[in-house]
Amino acid sequence: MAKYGMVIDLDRCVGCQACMVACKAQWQTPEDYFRTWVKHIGPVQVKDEMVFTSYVGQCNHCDNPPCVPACPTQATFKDTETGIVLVDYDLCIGCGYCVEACPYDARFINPVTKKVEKCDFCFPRLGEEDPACVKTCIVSAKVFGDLENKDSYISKKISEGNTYVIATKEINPGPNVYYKGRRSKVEAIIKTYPPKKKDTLPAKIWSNILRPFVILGAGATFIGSLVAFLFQINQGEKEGEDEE
Amino acid sequence: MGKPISRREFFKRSLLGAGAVGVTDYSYVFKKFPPGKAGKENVELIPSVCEMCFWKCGIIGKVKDGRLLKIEGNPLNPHNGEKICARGNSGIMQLYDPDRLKYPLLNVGERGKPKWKRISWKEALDTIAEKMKEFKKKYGARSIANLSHGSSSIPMRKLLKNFGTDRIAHASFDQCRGNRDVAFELTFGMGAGSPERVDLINAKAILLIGSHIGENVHTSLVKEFIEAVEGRKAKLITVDPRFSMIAGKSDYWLPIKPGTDTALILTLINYIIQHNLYDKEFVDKYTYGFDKLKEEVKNYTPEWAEKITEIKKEIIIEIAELFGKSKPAVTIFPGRQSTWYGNDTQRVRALAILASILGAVGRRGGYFFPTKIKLKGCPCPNKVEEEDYLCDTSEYPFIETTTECIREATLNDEVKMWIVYGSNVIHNTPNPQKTIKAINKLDFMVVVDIKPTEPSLYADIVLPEATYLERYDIPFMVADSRTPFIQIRRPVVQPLYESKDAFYIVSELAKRLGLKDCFPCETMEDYLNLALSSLGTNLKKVEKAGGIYRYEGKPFLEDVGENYRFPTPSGKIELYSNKLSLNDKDPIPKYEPVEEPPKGWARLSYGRSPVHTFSRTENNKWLHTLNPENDLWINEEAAKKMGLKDGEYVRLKNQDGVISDPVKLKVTPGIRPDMVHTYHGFGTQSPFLRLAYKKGMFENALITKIKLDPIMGGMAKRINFVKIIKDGKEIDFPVIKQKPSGFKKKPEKEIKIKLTAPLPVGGGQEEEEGGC
Repeated sequence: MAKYGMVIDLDRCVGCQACMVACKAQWQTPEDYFRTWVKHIGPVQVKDEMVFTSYVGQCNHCDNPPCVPACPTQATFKDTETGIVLVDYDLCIGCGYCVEACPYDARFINPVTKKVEKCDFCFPRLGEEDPACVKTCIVSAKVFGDLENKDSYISKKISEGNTYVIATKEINPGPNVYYKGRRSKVEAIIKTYPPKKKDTLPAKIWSNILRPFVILGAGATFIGSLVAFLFQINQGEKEGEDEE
Repeated sequence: MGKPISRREFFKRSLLGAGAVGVTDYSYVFKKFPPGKAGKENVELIPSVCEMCFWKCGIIGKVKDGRLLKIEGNPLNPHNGEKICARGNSGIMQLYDPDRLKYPLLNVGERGKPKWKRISWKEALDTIAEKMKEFKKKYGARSIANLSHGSSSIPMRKLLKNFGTDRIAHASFDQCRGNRDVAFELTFGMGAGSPERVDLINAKAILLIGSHIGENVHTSLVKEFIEAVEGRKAKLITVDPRFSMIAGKSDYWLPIKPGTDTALILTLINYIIQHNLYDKEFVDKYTYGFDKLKEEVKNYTPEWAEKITEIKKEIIIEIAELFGKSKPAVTIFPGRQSTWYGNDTQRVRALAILASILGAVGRRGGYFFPTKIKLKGCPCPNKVEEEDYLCDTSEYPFIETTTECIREATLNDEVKMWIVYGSNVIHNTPNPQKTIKAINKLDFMVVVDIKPTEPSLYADIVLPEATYLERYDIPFMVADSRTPFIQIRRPVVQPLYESKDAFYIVSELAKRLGLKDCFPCETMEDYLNLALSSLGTNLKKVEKAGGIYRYEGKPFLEDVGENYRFPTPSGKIELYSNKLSLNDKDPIPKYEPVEEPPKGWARLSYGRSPVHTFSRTENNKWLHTLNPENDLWINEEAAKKMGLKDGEYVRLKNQDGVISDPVKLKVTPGIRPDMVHTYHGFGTQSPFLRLAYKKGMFENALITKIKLDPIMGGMAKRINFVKIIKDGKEIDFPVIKQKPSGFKKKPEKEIKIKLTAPLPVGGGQEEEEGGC
């Protein structure tokens, strides 16, 4: 089992936004929508240090992704083989509850397809090429790899130290995108774009009350595969917990 | 329970059904292709060369059924490899920009308010050739001038010289790096190079003055810069009155008082000499005029410099010591856009001298040498009888024809026709009001461009050029490299609409003008084959090999021989320049104060956005989305005193009463209070560029005061002052006294973590020792 993750080296990043465009070109997101982002922060004073940095972000592929339970149709799931949080476009009904649930605002509803979209670490390229953003990053600030593999470059980068995740004591879904660099830069990011505490009420309504109806309504043709699939998701989540 | 379905299998299945994800609201641009398949299945990979800026990164176009799907970096390019910037990634949106020029156009309306009539290429070229012949007969060939920018404009320049006119100006000379290259020519006998010939990767210390690397994205340079600074921990000193992105990565940030850079450099030179920190052996062997230099700079002490530059003397001394310790592996970055205050050639001379006394020339970590090879080409001999730069060479001894000289000569009726090639003269040349006045005096004006930029609004005939993705160009020799190579730009797709490449335009004109010896080749492929035959290869072979032909470089003294003679009159690096003294200019740079903003005014500074190239990319849909308008950096304390808030829109008024479009304020402590700063290239005045039209501030309109460099006539721009206008009321800038400063990066505590343990969580709480 692999667990894919990413390290973003804020000391290397110059905020050039090449990653955003490479991702856009790869996935053809609509005009104003991006699966990844680079938000410039500063120059601003953080304690006794001046900081000018970029918040390079995308789906964090969390260990406990709040988007998964929020999804009424199980379209969003955490892949047990890769640890990547994926969306099954056949099942997605575009309700937007996962968008609401994500503390990082990493998801959006594609206004054309009416389905949810987000970074999937370029899943269809997996094993062949690095994700588009990593490949184009002009300063090699983005590193992608298997966190479970202790010999991988990404594991080495993380074990060098001064590595953080964008999370707080209250909101920590276990992100797998790591940030390296001066602490003041990470602090500036968390101060400016804190992970959001989301009102989980709609998600609760979906999962407890409406979900059974939606699943029934999803159509008889799906039900066979859905039953098998849902079973596996439950299995998978259990397996995942065991591993940790 | 049935046979379990693997999740991946399930995902793959569902992915097949998700073809609709590829349909977007810019589907007019692409034919649909399934997600994740950009670059697979029947996709042709075509190597070429980017021109979203002029750095010439190697690219690969992924093409399917004649449509470009995606652009990636060419891994075989020794400089950028598979890395390309946001602009390079967005080339596709330039190609498929619906606002592109599509057909030759004749203006049947007014200048500036065109009514365009579509005409044929034949009619357009016939008319242009007729006009050229007519003007040559009536007023001489020199009544025709050319203002150009970019590689595709080279054939046109050659044609015009063959026709008999040398009234040719390049924005890259008089608006950008001409003074830098003249300074390097005078000192080393060669320009600073493009790419700049700096061996960053081996540097132990790097000095960056007024260059915002990173915000100014030249991919391979930024790549190596960051590797040197963050990977190899070279010490970086950034001198910039603004806290740029790269200042944030520096070991030292020196927020210098604008206009005093030369004082700082000369002080470093003096301190290094006085304290025997220079490379004596190198200076003795390779330089000329050291004793005179020593005498000339002796009064530039750190104490003096502290008062002038507002940089603490202790910091200046620390940096001088650091350079002495790190020599010769010190990169004194030559800079690029250098037309700042009006005496800029001397400032860059001072940089060159500083590098020289540190022995950082032809050595690892310093400047390296270019390696040129000879290439034949399709000929077009220069038939200009006697060189006449048009400008006053007695006053500006090292001038080439500049935009300013052409503009003046047009206003004096000496020039009657302009051919503007790929150069937005209204955006790139200061005082656009004067440029427009000159244009309105012209008898005839031709613009060759890919988009309807401002100059095309004033043209009589507009020709649509093919973009870099649709054409061949002359071969690019990248001699300014440790791993030199020749790179071929080739069409990735067929030209759209009726756009044509430079070779077509120029060779068709040559035929009509009866210039038989100018570009006798049939096609651009012939041209390239001829050029490559001098290397014993041909176009087909080079294209097959990824569009790149590499050859051996001789970058360092150890390669060219220790007895190397520099191509200067003395054969040495000229610390003291006889050429300058013969022309009544200071043979060794001196510090001269520049004009300061009067009370209540602030200096206007400009720079580049990382996602835009000058005024060329603002209408690119993707880049426009990333950065639709420029903002105005203003100091926090000043803004507070002026009652201004972050994010609000104001106008600027300059010293000549010009009032700008509204611009959004960015209030930050990261800029000195005596200046404001904005990104260049925004606020296009052409309504035909529908996305970019009047988005942001047209800052060049505020640059009405120009000072010409006394050595080479470059047009200095950072001598314009502004006030803020809010709700119709003028607001003065407050006087905020600056204490001498200079910031040093504090060492950070190493936080070691175990991979399996939860990582330190942000949000301000302290991590526990060892645990995290």
